[in-house]
Amino acid sequence: MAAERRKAIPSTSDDNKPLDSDKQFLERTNVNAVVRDVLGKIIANRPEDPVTFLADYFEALVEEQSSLVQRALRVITMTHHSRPVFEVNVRDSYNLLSKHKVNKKLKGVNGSVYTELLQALCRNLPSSVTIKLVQKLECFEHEAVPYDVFRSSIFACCVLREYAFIAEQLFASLDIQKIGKADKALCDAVMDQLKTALGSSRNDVRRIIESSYNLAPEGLHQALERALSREQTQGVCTSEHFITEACDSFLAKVKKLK
Amino acid sequence: MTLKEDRFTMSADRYLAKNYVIVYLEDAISQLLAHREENPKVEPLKYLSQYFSSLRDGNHTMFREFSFIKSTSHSRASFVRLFWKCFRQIGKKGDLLSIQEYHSLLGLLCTDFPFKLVQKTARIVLIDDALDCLISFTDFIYAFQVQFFYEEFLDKCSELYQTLQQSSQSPRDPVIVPTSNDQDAGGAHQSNHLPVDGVDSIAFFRSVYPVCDRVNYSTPPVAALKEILFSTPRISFYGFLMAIAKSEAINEHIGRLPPKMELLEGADIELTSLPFKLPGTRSRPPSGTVTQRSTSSGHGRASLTQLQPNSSSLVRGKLSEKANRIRSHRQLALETSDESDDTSSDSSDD
Repeated sequence: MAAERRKAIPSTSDDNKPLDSDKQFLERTNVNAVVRDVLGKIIANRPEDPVTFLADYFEALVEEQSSLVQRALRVITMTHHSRPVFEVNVRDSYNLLSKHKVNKKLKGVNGSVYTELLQALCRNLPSSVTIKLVQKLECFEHEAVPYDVFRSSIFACCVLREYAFIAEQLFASLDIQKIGKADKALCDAVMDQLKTALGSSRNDVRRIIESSYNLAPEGLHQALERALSREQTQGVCTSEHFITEACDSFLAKVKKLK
Repeated sequence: MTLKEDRFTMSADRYLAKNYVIVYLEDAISQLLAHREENPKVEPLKYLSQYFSSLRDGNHTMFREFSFIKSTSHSRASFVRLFWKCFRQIGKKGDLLSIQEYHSLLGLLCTDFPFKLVQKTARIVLIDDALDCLISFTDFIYAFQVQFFYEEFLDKCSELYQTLQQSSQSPRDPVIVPTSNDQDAGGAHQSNHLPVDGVDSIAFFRSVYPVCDRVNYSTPPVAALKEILFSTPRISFYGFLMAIAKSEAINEHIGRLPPKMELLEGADIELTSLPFKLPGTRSRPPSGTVTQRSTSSGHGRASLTQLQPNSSSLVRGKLSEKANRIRSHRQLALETSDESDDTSSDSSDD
């Protein structure tokens, strides 16, 4: 049985077919172009797991029925937002969304499809955070969304996503007993450091340096030491609560669009 | 972690090679072309999509040639998992098999699977002697996993071990002297008394350490090796391999097999759904294996699984038939043989 299957291996069967027809076949079915394209995308985006990237890419090619927002989302999440190619991806996703039909004659990115994309981007965040973010970045449903607004909002979303992820890891390291709950005194100490750091304005150089010191391991260690020395049990703090609070201090820095 | 950071700075060629992108793309195309000969109306993009999603889910190794399975670490680990999925019932029944029988089971999934690898695996379980002993499924699969997944690393370790052993047997004993400072007196003391049994494990760690994460083949995490080698003053080579095979941290690092306690649990769910998970791969190789996704994520593939119910049950039937034959043969042998055979393999079980 297994021996029969070996027929499927090219080395044994390729010789019967003229190579030329294989070439024509790949050319005719556009496989060549697709492979060239995906290879280019992989090199540009350098995904951490190229196999998953390939699977997602081909899945997206086959599933034409997936919505514009889903496709735009896929393009945006192809790479990390610190990479130069992110800019290109955002541009691509904006172009994709421009195919959105507003009414019979009009196509373009309006507030509703834009909000949908923002919500899709924030799907893994606590819902209260998403609501607050969308409130800040909101455009009216009938409004046309220009590219620069689109770009900066998407960027804010991506940074927030990573910020929330880091906050989660921070919580995990505060959760010493690994029970899903951390000591409130410790959480508050870290949160205070974070808030003071985020509270610094862009122009105040001294405070920026101070805050980066405060968030460095040594600064945090001192703050945690102080919190522990006070030795008062204030109860516990859950992961979601911690993340929400951390995100709130981030959101305070996001300027309202309108 | 450091390797992950590097991926943006390394050259495109290096990045592609490190992740085997070209290997997979080339294989996908050649599979597609081979598939087209029997099915001229194949939709290439659909086929490629199925190929890559089965690759992502680790269901791409069934009935493939050994050279392909061996070519990437992802494929190696996926193959070990496939072996576990298919023959878990042997472990559940508690049967003990000989290495020839394990080899024929592997041959069902990969026709040209080399016997040498099974032999090497048996050496780990049986600590390098009595290769005709029977081995339990649990022992076998974990040893097989490390032997197959870390083959190059283990070969390198063997080399280092021999060098170390030779140098430590010399009267001057240059390797062990410095370690007596940070080790307690016991370590040095023992090394004087047992010069042939194994090598100083700290010294061995020092020679293995430079290899870890700095070569282009897979190596176990350094922390796990530390745990193994720092817990005992002296270690023999096969004792070292056995410890690697038994290490839960290393198993977790490879990330395909469940921990030992759960290895044979929950088998019934998977087993009953196995007929749908092993569809005929002759006419549509990767697409068939796509359906072997775990049940939790398998809803989207339901339609695919129903495409070829006949051939799938055929394959499944043949596999279990073979397994049953081996099992019944085993039982006969056990019944007729005296207990000595049985107890010797039981002791290797633990």
